[in-house]
Amino acid sequence: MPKLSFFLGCIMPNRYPGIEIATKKTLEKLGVELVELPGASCCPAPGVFRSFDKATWLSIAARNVVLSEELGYDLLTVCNGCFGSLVDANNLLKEDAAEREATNKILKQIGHEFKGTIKVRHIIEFLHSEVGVDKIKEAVVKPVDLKVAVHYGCHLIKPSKERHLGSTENPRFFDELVEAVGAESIDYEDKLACCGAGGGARTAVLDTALLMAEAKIQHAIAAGADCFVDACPFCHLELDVGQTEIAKKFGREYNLPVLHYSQLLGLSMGYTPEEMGIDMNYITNDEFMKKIGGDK
Amino acid sequence: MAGDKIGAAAVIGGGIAGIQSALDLADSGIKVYLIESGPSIGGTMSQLDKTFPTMDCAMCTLSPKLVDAERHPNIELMTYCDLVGISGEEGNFTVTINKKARYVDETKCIGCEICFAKCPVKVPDEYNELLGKHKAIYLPFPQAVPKIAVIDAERCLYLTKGKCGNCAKACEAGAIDYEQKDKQVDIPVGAIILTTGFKPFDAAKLEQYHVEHTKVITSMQFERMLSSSGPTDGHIELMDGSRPKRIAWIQCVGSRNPEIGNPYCSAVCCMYATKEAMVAKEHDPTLDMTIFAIDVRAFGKGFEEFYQRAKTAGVRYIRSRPNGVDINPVTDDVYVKYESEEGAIEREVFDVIVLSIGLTPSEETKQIAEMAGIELDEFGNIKTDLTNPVETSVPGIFASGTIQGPKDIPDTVADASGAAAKAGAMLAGVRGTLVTKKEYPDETPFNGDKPRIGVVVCRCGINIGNVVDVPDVVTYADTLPGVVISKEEIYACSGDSHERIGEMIKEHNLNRVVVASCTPRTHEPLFQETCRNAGLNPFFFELANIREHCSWVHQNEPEKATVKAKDTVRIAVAKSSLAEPLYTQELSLTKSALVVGGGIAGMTAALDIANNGFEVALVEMEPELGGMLCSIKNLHNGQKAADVLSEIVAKVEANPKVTVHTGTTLESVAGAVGNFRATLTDGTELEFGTTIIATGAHEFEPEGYFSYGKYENVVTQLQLEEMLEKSLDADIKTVVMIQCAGGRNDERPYCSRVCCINAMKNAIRIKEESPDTNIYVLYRDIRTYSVWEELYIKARELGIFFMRYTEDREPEVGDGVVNVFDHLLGRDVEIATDLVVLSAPMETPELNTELSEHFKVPLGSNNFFLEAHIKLRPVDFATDGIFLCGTAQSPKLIDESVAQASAAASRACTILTRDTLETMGNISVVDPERCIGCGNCVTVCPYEAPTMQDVTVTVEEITYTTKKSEINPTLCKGCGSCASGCPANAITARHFTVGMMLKSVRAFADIADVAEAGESATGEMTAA
Repeated sequence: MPKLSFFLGCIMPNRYPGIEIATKKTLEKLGVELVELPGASCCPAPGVFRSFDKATWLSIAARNVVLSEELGYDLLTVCNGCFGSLVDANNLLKEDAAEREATNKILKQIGHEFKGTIKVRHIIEFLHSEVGVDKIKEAVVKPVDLKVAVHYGCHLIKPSKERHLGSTENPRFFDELVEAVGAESIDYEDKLACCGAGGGARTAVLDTALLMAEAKIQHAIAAGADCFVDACPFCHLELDVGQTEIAKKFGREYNLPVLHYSQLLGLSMGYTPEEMGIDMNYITNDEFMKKIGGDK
Repeated sequence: MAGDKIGAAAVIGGGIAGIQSALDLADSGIKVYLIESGPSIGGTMSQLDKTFPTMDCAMCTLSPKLVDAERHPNIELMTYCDLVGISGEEGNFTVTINKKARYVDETKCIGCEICFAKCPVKVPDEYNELLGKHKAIYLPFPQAVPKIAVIDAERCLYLTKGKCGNCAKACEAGAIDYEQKDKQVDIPVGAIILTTGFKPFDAAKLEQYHVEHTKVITSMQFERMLSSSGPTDGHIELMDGSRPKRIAWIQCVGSRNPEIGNPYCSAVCCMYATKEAMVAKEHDPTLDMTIFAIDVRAFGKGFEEFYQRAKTAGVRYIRSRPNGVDINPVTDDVYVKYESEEGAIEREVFDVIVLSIGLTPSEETKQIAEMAGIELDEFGNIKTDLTNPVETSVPGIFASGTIQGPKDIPDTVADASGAAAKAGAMLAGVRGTLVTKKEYPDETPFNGDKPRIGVVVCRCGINIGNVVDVPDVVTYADTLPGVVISKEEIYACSGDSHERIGEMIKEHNLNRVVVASCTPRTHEPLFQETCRNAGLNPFFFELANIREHCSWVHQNEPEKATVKAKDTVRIAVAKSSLAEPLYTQELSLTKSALVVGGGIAGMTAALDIANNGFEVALVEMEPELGGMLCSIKNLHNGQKAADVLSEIVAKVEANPKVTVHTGTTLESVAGAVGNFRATLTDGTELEFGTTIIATGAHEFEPEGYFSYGKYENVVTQLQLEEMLEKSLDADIKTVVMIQCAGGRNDERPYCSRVCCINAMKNAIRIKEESPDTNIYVLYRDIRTYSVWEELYIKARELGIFFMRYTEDREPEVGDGVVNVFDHLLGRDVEIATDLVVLSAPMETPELNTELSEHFKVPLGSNNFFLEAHIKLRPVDFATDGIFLCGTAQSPKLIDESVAQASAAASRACTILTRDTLETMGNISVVDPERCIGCGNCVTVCPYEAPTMQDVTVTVEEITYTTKKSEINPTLCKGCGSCASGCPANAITARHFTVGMMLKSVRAFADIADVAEAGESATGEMTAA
């Protein structure tokens, strides 16, 4: 199995360290060796930086990619935002000679050069295409009996023409990973809708962002979900913290737990909810904890 | 060179375009090979239920053309044949065809369909858009032409596994031939016309629309559901058996989508969705109809009015483009999320969502283009240009219909006739060299001999024979008065049966033949031919329809069916006993044409007729030729109008066969098809056989609209073009264009079709010349249809602003300012402007009224001329010998005018190429003694055949002048309207005389012919 540099990003280490530990432990069990990318900065956030100043976005993102190039490893992220930013930057610099030249001029000032030698990977597509569903099934010791509302998030699959991950309207690869650990991926209304956080919406128009999250939560509950499973700490934050904000602002409580896929995977490998940092989430409920064998 | 040319043409593609081209060429003395890859001709139009905007049944208007094409002696139908090669050059091509194995002998199969029931294999039915199944041996649709079955070799059990063979056992005609092989055939032709049409967009390519869901269907599927011969018998019923109540159409699925390489507008979808909603509403008025459209593109003749009717009828139009269809996985409901015009996000659940799929270039187009080295346009359509709209880049190869890009049926038909005119002109020197005139034996003289009637009762395999007791009917027929022989046939229409009927006529010295079989619509001409071959006048033949009228409708009550079959035969025998021989008349013909109107349409028509070898008089009221093109500066593709104009004027003036009369109009017109006479206001006398009306249109002066006439800086688009020629004043920093200025209102309810494209053209020109100028286009719908959508895309890319307004809140133009309500902002916006440009509609010249009286041809709304049929006869008038083209018919672009002009020329040539005019035999005649001159016949005739003539009558030494009706035999179609409308019984519809009708009715009632002595064959009625 390959060695990968692990790009931590901002939200995961600061707000959801459980996702970080879950990622490290589960990938280790699957034989994937991770090296934390030394010197990494913010990706930077694609919605905000790229929209306002493309050159700044591109040089910062390029620097992160170059750090991994210099290690000689493909770069792994567990965040849709980081993935969107880094994979787009990497592809753009590989394909567009003029952009590459301009960016390298900037990188040269700090002694780096973009060469285009590595790939940027997202944990979900990496697990699906490199590790494979069968190998994950083999690693399962304790199948998770949950009805799961899978949340792909936006940057993982879109823009479809650049991601090359198959169907954008009916994607299946994430669901297959969820089903590999014994859970049932249920279909729910507007499954592919945005969590509401992206594009600066959470900062700029929080109420709108929360209403979008709330619609997703309602649809998942209506379809009988025990929890969400996502692939991005920012979506995670919106769906998890968002529920406390919805309760406070609008007086509506849902208590639908939210897991990152690495946490779900960890449960199936026999780790306890605490070992996977699930207790660090804001939202939980007794029934759910009972189902996953937690203490609460 | 002419000697080397081949007097034949290949028409590739048997849809409506191919059929029209074939018929026109064949009527003009060119041998035609009509080549179709499918088992039947008919194309996409045959799949449609009804056609907009008149809601005519598509099959009912199309099917006579199918039959005409099949029967035409100069057309060789080659169905189930793939084009595999084109070689040679103009005048001398070789077209190579792969005749696919049908596994059915074309000379034996009579289309009885008996084998279908015996075939155990079901195959998804592509004709029905996969909504149903047909057997492995099948006809694509019931009215298929030719009606010859075909075996799906990939599914047939016998052909794949060597088992079954049921169809061969069931076929009494012995037509099944499992040993058939594909066969390559080389066909030498002088010209080629490509009409292979389009491919409907594959909705599965856009997965966000979820066409795989039961409640999401394509517009073609919906069309098949509406069709009474379709898979659901005309019920709107989904595959899960549900009958939807709430129906939504999503427009532009696969069109106006640059993302997938289809930036163009498909031109027909807005109207077909409207039509489908209206037809569905006819089926069930309680249905709830919604159409989601970006713009409603109702740009053709009568379309805007149809759209307004649909709105009144309750069809809801939502101006939004949903990004897909959503599915609620819990309930399995389908719903649409859309942004309302006010910017709110709405969602709505529907019972079925219809995807209005666009028209895309077919793979076949590409293959043919490669084969023949023909240029394609950027979208993959056959490339043509504005002034040569039916010519490809290869001389001698022409293209018509949707193979050039999305277009509607009338434009397709116009193209098709236009292509025929061009091919005909090229082959004018070898016209008639490859067609064969049928020779018949001399007729046995008829001297009022007593009827000797032969009756043939057809079993039609088991179609009739299994229900009706055929031997019983044969025995019964023998007892009827006048019948000397009666027998049965398994298939009366088969080749050997025709021979036996011929022998029977001779052997029994018959002077009447009655065949009891199927419909006269398809089979009467066949048996008439048999009679002629045996020396019998064709009108001594009578057909009794005991299949459609007896065995099919009464298949569960065979005894009654037999009784009815006997009644039907008895009536036919009675009618035939009064039959008389009828003859066609040959009349002389003036082989020249008159074209009225010297614009681009008139000039094109005149040149095409001249190039086909006939003299043309071209009359223009202005002192110069050119018409509207004189005031247009740039065409919408950027070409200079003056260049186009000077080129064609030079051609007209140089053509020795065209005589131009400018500065004059028609003073008087007399005569009819073949022999018109006219006097011009300058005194010139003209004689001509056909006429084309091409009087054009002009820009309406929008006095009183949007402050036009009040402020100097409010101008029309044509005035703007004039200003642009001198380059726009540098002070003009902001330009506001207002669309539909004086159009789409109560006075001029029509859409003028070209104004949106015109506005784009001029706005782009301003922006390219001075990029800093701000341009606002205030519009109601942007109707840049077909490939001209690219102008709209370009205009937006250049930064031209588009703001929508509605008819109930029009912009207000003040001094240097325009106020317009912005729907997105929800408030009025004030635009300070230096120039306001009004897009005013085209309107017709006043002269049209006079002209319509001269030629007795009708005007439609707003004085545009009214064609014979809005879809299939776009350049014909109902009256023979008179045609129309260009903007006289309705507003249109220059290429459409040119195509129509060529079409009108082609139609005119179908008459001019004849040596004489032949009348029909069974026309109506007036008995002047009985005629009271009331003129009722003139009123009821749809073809302008009867006219009132001043005559002097002398009775018992009193002489007086009165009016009497006279029927022009060349115009009469024998419909009999005048005969039934005549209060004095002065008119006889020959072959349907009053006597024949009375005798038939009496025979039906089984009343003895008590009054027989008092009746004559010509229909004298006695007080019975």
